[in-house]
Amino acid sequence: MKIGRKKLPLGNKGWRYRTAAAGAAAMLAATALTTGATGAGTAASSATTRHAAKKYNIVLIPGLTTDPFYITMGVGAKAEAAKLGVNLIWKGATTWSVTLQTPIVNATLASHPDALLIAPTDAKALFNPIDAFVKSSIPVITVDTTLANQSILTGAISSDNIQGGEAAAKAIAAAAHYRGAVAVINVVKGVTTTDLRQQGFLQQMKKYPHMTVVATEYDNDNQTTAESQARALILAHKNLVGIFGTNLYSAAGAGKGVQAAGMKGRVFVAGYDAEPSEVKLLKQGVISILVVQNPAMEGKLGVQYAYDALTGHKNLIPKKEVLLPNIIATTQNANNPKISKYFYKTKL
Amino acid sequence: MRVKLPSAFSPPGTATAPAVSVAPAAERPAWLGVVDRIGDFWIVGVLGLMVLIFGLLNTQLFTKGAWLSISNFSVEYLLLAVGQLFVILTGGIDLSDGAILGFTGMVSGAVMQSMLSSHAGDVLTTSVGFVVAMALGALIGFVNGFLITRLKLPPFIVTLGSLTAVGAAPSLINGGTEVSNLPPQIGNIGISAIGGWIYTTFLIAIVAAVVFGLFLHRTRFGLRTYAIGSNGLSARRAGINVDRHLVWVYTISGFLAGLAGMMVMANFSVANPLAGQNDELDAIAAVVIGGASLFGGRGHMLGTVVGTMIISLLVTGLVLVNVNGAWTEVATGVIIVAAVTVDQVRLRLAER
Repeated sequence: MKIGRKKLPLGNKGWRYRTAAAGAAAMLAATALTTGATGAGTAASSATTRHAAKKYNIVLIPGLTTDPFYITMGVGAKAEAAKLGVNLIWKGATTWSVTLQTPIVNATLASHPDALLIAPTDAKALFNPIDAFVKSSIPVITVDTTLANQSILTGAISSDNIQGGEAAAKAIAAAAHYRGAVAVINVVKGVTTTDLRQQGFLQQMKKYPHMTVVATEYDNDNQTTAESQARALILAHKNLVGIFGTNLYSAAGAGKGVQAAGMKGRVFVAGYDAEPSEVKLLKQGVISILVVQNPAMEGKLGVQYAYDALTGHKNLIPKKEVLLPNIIATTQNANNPKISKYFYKTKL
Repeated sequence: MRVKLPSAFSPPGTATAPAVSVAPAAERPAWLGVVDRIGDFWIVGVLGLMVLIFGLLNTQLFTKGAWLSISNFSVEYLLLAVGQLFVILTGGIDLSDGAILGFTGMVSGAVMQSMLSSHAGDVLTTSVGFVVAMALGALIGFVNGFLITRLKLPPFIVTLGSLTAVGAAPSLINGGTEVSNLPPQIGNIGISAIGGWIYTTFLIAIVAAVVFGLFLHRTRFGLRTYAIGSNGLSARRAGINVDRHLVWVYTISGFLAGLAGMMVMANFSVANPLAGQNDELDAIAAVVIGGASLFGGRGHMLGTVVGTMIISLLVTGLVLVNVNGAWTEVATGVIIVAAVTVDQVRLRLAER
């Protein structure tokens, strides 16, 4: 996800809250749901009988509609909706914006869908608009980003950023034969997702006795800065074998820096996500490793859980936030269809 | 005490002249002569000192790799700062140049992509790409200047508006995603280096700085730029067409931002919708570190170039001496305030 003008905090593409408090709130909510289940259950089943011929309408509101990550999520959701025989309606704003997303959410409520899948652009600001759905007995499932207070949600699906960072560390370590110095080029301090990726990377690197993390830089999502930092890191640390860029521009900038310094193939760059331009760099070997999220699975599971909730199988939906593991793509396996099927799509 | 705001906050031509103090000729200590002789160029010494300090801490700074890293980084900031200097000299400010950089790059990239898909030649496509970016940049700059002079709006407000509007526009092009299907010539410009030492993009930026430097310091246009910044009202009374001049100045800034957009694209062989974001602040910082006054009428091209190199040096230098990345911006901020403070003290001494 781009972190840019007015777009700041993002996800996997957004803010992620994995605090103990949120966990506890979810547990409480789960209890509340079980006790109140009888009433809701009857309402749902009567609705099912009344509209036996009617197809369920499930709305998916992404963080923004133009990002390949969310487009891929939409593709996964659509495929699952076709399989289950429900309608999937995709709508949202073209940029990452609370101000633009909120009216779309409100307008969606007016159309009375059967369920809502949403990637909230703010963990707090979207609480009330989303709560209005819950109060109208419309189940809500968050995908990618979520709410700070998850108690009202029927489900939450995201990807595991710590695992992603760990996977990047493992891949760099293996490529460098578990020896040498590595550095992180992160985006901005204080963005939950990229900080978790960095945390996963650092804790995994500690497990390799012959590897050291020599620096953590911040590039403010500026590709030119990431490039210069990568070049300087190569000059400063003769034994540098890897750089982990925690998002698209950090990795692309680092890759360019390594290439320009003539160290391609000796300093391995790991990046995040699989947007078309990154995949191109991966195939060229400018980036050696990509940690690829699984937005299609997020979309698929979202539709599945919504369907379960509507058909009275709420018990099938995990009570805790579902964190999906990431896939590792490398220059070597980039053309393998088993891996390349995870690369992000640009068309819905 | 009345606090005087830079004239960028007030409509053009209405700003009052900075108070000119009449220096008493007598009793001037001899050492002040040295201060005079260092003149506006003390900042060159600061750059030299910084190179020395970073170099002593890590001799890798004196390698070709470090030079290439620093000079490559400086390209976009240098082009923006040159345009920004003209604007600041008139007492204005251009907050939109970073946004123009990103937008012109995306438009030019999209145009080149569609030309390639309709089988246009690579060289023709590249040339059209350059023309589109620079013409569009100049056009946005022209609109900025037009709004500032005809509607008598403060430059700060107009360019803040452009920053917001033009800054959001790239997300409307190519679905807001990067344009990577570009002619190979674009990428070649970005990686070619003359004798392995001077990137073509850096050469273009330096040539632009020299040409616009001569334009500023050796022509009537330049003289008028200073005159307007020193006292817009007097310049008007002296018969200078201030409005037309200001429109030109903002057009130059936009034009150079368009050229910078092409340089960033050449560097990465990709048009990136987030390119240039927040670059305007670094460009303004470079101009101010280089000795220009935000009140207008004071500043010079050499200082601006040196200011840009200081900012560029910090990015590579701080990594080389292993300072945590979060400190780069702290250091830049401190240097801005320090540079302005020293400059003010120097001016006060010179007035004595």
